[in-house]
Amino acid sequence: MSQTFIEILRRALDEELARDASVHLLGEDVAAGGAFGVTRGLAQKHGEQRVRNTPISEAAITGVATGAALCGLRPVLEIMFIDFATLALDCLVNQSAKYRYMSGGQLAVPMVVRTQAGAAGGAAAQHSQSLEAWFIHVPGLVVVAPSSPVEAYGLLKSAIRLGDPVLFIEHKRLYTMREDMPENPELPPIGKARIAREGKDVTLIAYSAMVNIALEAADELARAGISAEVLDLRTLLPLDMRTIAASVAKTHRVVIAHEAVQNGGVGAEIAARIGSELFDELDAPVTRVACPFVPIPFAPELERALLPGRDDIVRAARGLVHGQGH
Amino acid sequence: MSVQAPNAERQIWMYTQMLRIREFETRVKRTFTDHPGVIRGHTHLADGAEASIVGSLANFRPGDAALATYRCHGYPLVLGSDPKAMMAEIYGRADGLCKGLGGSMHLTDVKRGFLGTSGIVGAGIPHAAGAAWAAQIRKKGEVVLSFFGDGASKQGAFHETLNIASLWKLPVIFVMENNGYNVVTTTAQEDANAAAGHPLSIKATAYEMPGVTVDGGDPLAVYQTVGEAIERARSGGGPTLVESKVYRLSAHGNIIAPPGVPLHYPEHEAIAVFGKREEYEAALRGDPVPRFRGVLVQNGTLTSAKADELAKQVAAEMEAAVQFALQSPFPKNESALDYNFA
Amino acid sequence: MTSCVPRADWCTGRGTSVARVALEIPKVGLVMEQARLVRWLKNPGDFVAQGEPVLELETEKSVVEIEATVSGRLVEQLVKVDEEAKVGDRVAWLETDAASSAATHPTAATSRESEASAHAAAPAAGSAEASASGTSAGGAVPRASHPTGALGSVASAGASHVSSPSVTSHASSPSPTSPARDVSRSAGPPGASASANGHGDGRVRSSPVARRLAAQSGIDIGTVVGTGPRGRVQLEDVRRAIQARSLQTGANGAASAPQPLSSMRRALARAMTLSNATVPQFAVERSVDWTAVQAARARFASDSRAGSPKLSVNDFLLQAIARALLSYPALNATFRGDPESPDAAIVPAVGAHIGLVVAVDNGLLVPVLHDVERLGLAELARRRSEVVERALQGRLKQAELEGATFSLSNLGARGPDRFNALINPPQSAILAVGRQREGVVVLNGGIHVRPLSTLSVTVDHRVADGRLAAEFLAYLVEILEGDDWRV
Repeated sequence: MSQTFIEILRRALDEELARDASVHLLGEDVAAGGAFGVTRGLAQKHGEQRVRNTPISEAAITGVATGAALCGLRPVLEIMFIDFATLALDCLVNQSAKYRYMSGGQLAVPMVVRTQAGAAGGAAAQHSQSLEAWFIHVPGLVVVAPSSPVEAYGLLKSAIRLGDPVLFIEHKRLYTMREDMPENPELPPIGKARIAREGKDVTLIAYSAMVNIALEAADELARAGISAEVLDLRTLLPLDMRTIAASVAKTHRVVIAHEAVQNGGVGAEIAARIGSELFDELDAPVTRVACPFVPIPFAPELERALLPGRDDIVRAARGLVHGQGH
Repeated sequence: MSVQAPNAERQIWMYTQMLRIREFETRVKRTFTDHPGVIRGHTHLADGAEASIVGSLANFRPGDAALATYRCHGYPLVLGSDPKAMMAEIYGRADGLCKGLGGSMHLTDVKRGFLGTSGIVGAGIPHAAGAAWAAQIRKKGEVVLSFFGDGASKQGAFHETLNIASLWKLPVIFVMENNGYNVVTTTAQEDANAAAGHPLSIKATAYEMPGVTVDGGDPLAVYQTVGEAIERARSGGGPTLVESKVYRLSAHGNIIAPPGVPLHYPEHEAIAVFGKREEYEAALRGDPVPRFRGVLVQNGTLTSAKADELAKQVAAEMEAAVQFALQSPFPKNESALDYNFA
Repeated sequence: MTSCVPRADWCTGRGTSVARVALEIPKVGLVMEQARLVRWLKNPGDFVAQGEPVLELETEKSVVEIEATVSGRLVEQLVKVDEEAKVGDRVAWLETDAASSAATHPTAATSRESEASAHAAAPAAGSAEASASGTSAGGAVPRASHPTGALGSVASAGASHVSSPSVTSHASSPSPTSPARDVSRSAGPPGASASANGHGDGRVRSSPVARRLAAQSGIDIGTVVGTGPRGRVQLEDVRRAIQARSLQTGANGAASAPQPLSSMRRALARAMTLSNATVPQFAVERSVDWTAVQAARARFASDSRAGSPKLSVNDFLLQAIARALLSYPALNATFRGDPESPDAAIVPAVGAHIGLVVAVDNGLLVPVLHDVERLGLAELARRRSEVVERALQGRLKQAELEGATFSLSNLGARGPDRFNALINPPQSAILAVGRQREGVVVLNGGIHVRPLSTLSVTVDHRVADGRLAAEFLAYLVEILEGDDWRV
């Protein structure tokens, strides 16, 4: 029977809590289930010491999780919205990411910061952002953005077991997505991208909820005779250039799609690396599909109009394949 | 709750540790003139805070942890770190405590319970609480000491953390070394409690935890005060805010200058900025290191000859540290890429 | 690609031909009837390059960009934003400077005329189909057939690619209008037409991967017609140029130097030429079920002692061929002499001597296993692996290449489903073994999935006839499907 993203994520957390006594959940309201109900029932099952409510103090709770990770716990911290991660930036950027390095390898921060991002249904400018690009700029962090419930299950478990500070970005639009849980789900390694669909004419690089939109675009492109390969990055930092390179060597054309704004986005980094490392493979300019450079508006109609969608990807891909645009 | 005073042997140990910190810091400072160009970047000295550091850490047990700020040379010395490796780290050498990747501001010695530092004022405070949370879960009666300056108590992280630590009854002791200056601003100029004439330990009342102010120049007083706080924390009584009043005898740090400009320690801000020469000279007269020597010699715990002998031993130890660090090779370029990911 | 279908009207003034080309709404997808104009991407007066989007249309399904199929100046917009438009409606007029390119590229123009007309049929029937295929980089061309040389400029914008069908049709006539000239754009001066290839600044616009392939293939990128934006040479363009070159090598000169033959290559060429020219050969085919061989192989593998050789399918084939040859001695023979000469003869062989085709670097070798009928599988495997090893090392003796009447060619798991082999003279037959794959067989009224291959025996018709070949093959299959192996 199919389960939602939230249910499958909860199962992953439940299993990790049961598997490893050092795993602890903390965050605002997590004992009560968290803002989106991901941790519902886990405090009752594993105890409030393992699933710990915190005050609304993002700086301190991120620091507490970091300090606990230094001392052998594997904390999984929930930051309710990635927009609030701004309040925890000092800790994540200056401390969590640096402890191992500054100590010459003496310390480790095996911590996962689960947070939730993206626009859906009128949450307006401070609860809808896609801020992942800030974090891929920080050596020492790992940034993961799953594209489906089953992917999230495996990636979250891999992240918890990794040993580095991981920012685990869940897209709020995915929370209601349903999937069947396989018998023995694989745990995808962190840092490895996934070919979500094979193709030969153009590579659509996406992550998080945009992967599903890219898959729809690939369907549409197939109807027009264009075979699109969809690459689900899974991990934004470190970037799996090997898989990207293999795909680009096959298709020679790239569209990078993300919900975040284009300026300084993840796509900019990928485009630059393809441009320099895979220059000789390119048959067309690397093209990005991203949000216009404005905050996310409240009115759901405006939000919908702003977000990049299937047709934007289709248009970009067709332009590349048929040698138009640019 | 009372803590038994340290015996004579322990007091001599404490005095020796104070001497070691002072001698180490003196050597760091002298490096700028004796070996120009050997130290790059920022160093911050704890001369004047030796009694507070040693008094606090004299209560430390294996399994406990300490975290501090960038003014961090004293703590690992007391906890048993090798001064050679420490000096090599400050000189940016391959044999450094952190292999040259951390430097003066980021000394770390995990084996000895020194979990590291933050160069961001106040940022290490929540990490100490996190370490204390882990200790609370382990249930072995271990505690965490969080060292920071008075300036850090103006940061949100301080206030957020004191709230959580108190709420969760975490075994953490917040040791605020109030040295009166935030670089070139006095505490009274930037702290509402200080401006109102209150001790900074009053901040603890907002977070329902004990707040104590102690003379940071008296190692035995600090030992007693921090010791009581540690006992309380070990027995599940939660955190304490200890304000330890010290006087920083050197300037905030060496000058910050572009590459090529020789670095040095400037004159203390009390004189250079505020023109309070008398205040500074009074602080020198109250220097805790000779002060504690005086106490120990006066009450017969230590003879002058023994004290001089100790000073000689410590000077030799730290000279050896300097020589070791000077001889230590620079890290290989490729080592800059180590330790980024697991 | 969704392209407007241009309709050209011509007018002449001041000695230059100016083509006025109408852009029309093409059919987008199969069901679209009606569309709404979302916005204009170009304003009157703007220069529009071929392939550039001119406007956006909203259809029932999506918003699509409509691109110009000719380069020119947008002179008039005929539909306003938010107005409805139907398929075939005119939406804009473009003016193209036709005469200048026609004048500077007369040969190109004429050649493209024929090329364009070769293409005209498909797009004229409906450009949407052509674009929906997604493989044609060119797209639409003018619907109307234009008799003037000026057509070249419009056609070059619409269909400037050198696609293989037209190249094929031209390749046999190395005339001034051949595509070899057609693609030699670098020779022409920069001009309106050349802008399609980005020559305005003397630099060839090209994609990195196209440049790499061109360099690797010895193609001068400047001679390749680019069909990308602003005439950029893209991967497909270079691939087409390579194909064109391979089709017209000789007419245009090969790009790479002729390779002298190695002695092995020469021997092979000689043998195969002889075979093809002098041996009348035919092939018969039959399917074989490997189940029994697999079972026997597994049995021997589990029985065999340490150090005994591993049996390959070829060992079973060799033993089976040997037995079949002895049962059909008429096939175990060679033809000697000219059929017209009185001493022409069929020379029977004594014993089964079978060649095994071994692929080596840049060629083939056919070492011969002698007296195979005397060998058990284990000994056969030992000799076979030894002789193959020496073949790969190039250390075969002359005697090991002679004396066979029959050869075995097995291309293995990566081989084709089935193939016919050429006889290696003076031998009189060769067995070609297709790759093994699962197939359905009907046995006793039941359906079974079995490992199957297609065997093909090529036979020298001077030695044997179809019936004999068929019987031989049937017997060979019977042996292979049976369980009578000599260990």
